[in-house]
Amino acid sequence: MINLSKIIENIPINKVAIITPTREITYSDLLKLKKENEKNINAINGMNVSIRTNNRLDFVMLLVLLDGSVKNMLIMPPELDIEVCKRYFQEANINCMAFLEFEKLEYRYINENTYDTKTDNDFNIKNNIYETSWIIPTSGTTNIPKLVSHTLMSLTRTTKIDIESGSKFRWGLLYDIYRFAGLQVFLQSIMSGGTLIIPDQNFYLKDTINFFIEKKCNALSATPSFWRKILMLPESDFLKLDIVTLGGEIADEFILQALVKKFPNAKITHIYASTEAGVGFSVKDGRAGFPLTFLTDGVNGIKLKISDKKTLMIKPEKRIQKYIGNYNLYENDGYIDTGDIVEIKDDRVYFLGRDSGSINVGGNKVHPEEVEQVLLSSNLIFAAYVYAKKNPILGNIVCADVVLKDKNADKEKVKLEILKFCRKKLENFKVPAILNFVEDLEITQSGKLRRN
Amino acid sequence: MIREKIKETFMEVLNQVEKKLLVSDLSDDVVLLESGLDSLGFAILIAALEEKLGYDPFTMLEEPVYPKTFGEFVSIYEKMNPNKL
Repeated sequence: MINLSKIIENIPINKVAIITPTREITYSDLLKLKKENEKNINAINGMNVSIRTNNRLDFVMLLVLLDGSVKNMLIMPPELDIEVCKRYFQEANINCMAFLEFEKLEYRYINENTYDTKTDNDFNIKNNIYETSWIIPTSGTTNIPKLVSHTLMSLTRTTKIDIESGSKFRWGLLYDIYRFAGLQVFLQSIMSGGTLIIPDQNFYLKDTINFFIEKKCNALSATPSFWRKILMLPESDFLKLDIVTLGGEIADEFILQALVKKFPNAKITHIYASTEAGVGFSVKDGRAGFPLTFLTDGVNGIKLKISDKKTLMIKPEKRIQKYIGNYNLYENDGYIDTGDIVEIKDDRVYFLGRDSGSINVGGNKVHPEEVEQVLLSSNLIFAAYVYAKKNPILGNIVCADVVLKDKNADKEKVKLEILKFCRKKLENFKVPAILNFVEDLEITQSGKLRRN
Repeated sequence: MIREKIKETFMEVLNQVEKKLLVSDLSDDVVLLESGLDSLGFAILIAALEEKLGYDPFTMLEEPVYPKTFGEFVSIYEKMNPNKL
């Protein structure tokens, strides 16, 4: 059974663990922090604890302090709505909230009546070591985010614990650290004794890249859309990377080749992972999709198959991660449906998109139905059909075919009016990038819009 | 010709996304992501140009490149123009 503290103990103590714009923190600083907070760590030993902070350094410190000591650790993004928080507390049976005040661990009990009696007994046994469950909300592909319970094992399946070679890497944090992808980068760095460079969250991308250059960052993980943006910045010429990792979106041949060209000495890896499936597998040959042999022979102890719906199914070696609550993550045969539609071409398996029909715009999910509802509520439109169009910058963009109520209206004027309305109601990436005026939309026999 | 079309479409997209031009002029050395359009804006610009010009040069390039400046952006469109002699 591993936990973060145990791993840190094996890392040379003077090694820098974390760099922020104002501080450098060594691995020994982290162990010292743990020692100083021993009393309060023991006070919440074995409990189900939530972590919520908008300070990235505090967040990392809390993970180190609590992993291995609390039973369940609910990780909540700071911008979470209060009602959602309450629901998560109930579902994950959270007893207490943990936070840092000037690097001192503080905690607050949640309504004592909600205590589970079994956990109550555990409170008396102090200083136990637990294999802490990391409870992480999904990104809400299905609109209602669910909680998935992981362990350090399922979160780090492809993270090699190799301090010898791993410690020379200085990882730049580009993802939101409070979510699955950001946690991956943090764990990748800390579990191999590397350095994590955390930029200020208010930095522009340009400042972030300059900060990485200044701090000699040599390993970066980002979505394909984020990489495209980085490559469009003149500052990217000064990045010297040994490790380039892509994830979170379909990595096409174009971006992969562009990265090979830009960083000829870097190891380029596309990681297939999700909050639900944990770390699936990685593809290292610099090509889009993955080799057919993964499907026929499995990869790293994971088995793969394609469902009747043409979605990729993953069967982890052990059933570690699970949904909290009354949802079943696994099919009867132990496979998890990833919801990613795939296609076999020759000796390769390629990703085509999501089976939910959701559109991935630069890593952000858009539900066409939501955009259609907003378009219709503008009162200028009689019918609307929203779909994805491939795009070299963001992977996909949102397109809409609409039937105007007033067919004689000034098209340019009404277009701007509709988009302005959408911008008020929707986040920018959801607003149709292309708006086509059509005479009619195809309706299926069941009276629904025909979707391709 | 293409340059003028790109400039014109650029201004239309700026208007569409309700952003302002952050430089005095779209000269060749303007850094794209500092021009006023963000990456979503450029995604829209490329889609809009595909409708107007009839091609998306980024899908046609043999060597993958991402343009950094306005000059590079225009030259990709000029280089890949299927109608050029």
